[in-house]
Amino acid sequence: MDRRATSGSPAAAASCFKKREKRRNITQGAFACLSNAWLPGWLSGGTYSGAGKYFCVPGLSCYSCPGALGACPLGAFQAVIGSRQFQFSFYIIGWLSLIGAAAGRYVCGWICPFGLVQDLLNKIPAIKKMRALPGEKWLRRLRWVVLAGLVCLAPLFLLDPIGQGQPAFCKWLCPSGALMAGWPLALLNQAVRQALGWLFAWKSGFLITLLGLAIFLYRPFCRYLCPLGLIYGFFNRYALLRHVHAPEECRACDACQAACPLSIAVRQKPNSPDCIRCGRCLTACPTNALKLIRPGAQMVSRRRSTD
Amino acid sequence: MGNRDQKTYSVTILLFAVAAVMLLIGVTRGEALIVFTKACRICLECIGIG
Repeated sequence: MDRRATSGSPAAAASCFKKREKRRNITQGAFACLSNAWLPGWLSGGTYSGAGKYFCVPGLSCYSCPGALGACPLGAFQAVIGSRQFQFSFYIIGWLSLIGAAAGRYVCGWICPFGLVQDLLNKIPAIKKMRALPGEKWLRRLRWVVLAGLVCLAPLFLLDPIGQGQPAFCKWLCPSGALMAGWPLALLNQAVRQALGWLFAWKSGFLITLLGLAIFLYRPFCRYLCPLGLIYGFFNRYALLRHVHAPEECRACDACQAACPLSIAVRQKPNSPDCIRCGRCLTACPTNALKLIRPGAQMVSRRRSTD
Repeated sequence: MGNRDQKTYSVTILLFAVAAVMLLIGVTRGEALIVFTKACRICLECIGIG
């Protein structure tokens, strides 16, 4: 049962937030371990090649990670539309729709391994934490450029001499690939280590910058660059797991917006495409006006007695 | 459950149905095999070799 954070003392409120965050981080960690649990890969510097690779994992988790048991949906999408046979992938869009219709961006908040990395880095105490970067509104639109340019158009039109499309997002930008596949394979696999060059340096530099920024700013990659989060964001409003705001119970105190690390106007847009479903707003609401709905048990969040 | 909720659930069900059909089409076209083939090998682009 969710406890209303602001209905008790400040210490009780802090305890509620901590418990929820702990539960979320444990879930994220469990999914990260589960989807990268191929032990022989971690020992030998190879990759798993079993039937699991027919299927996509929900989050941004590179299929070249030595432990990866499934395929990355974005990498797989680029591989299909970059092949000579197909210009569109029903299979991957079907996967993304299935996952999106079930959970929306709960994937980002509770499952994605790269989200977990950013969350943990943001827990490091820093002199000044930022709520947003200057030009936040415009920076968030970069996700559209990444999705359209790198994920969709480049694999279709930037072809190599044998007619295969470039997986431009994986090649130039994906920090999850560098962190979960590039760095471990560079350590574990001598052939990979010998082939490293300027591209690896670029990806590593970009990753380090992003990780450094994540200490000061909550989830910079998810905010500004992640095309997968952008896709799942479309489903937030219609997913089985979604939020609802009951105006008749709301005091308009905006505790939800103050608690939101992405500064979303939660009262107005409880299912904003930008919401990663960390759930802090649900915990912060003193009157239970914000609720998580799921089928079968409509109002999951229950009111805590204040007396 | 209100009318609005019912409509939203209808859209959700429709999304599931569309997703299932797309998955089926994708599998019959052989896209799953491309995904499998790509995912089984070390992706040089992903790790930053090129």
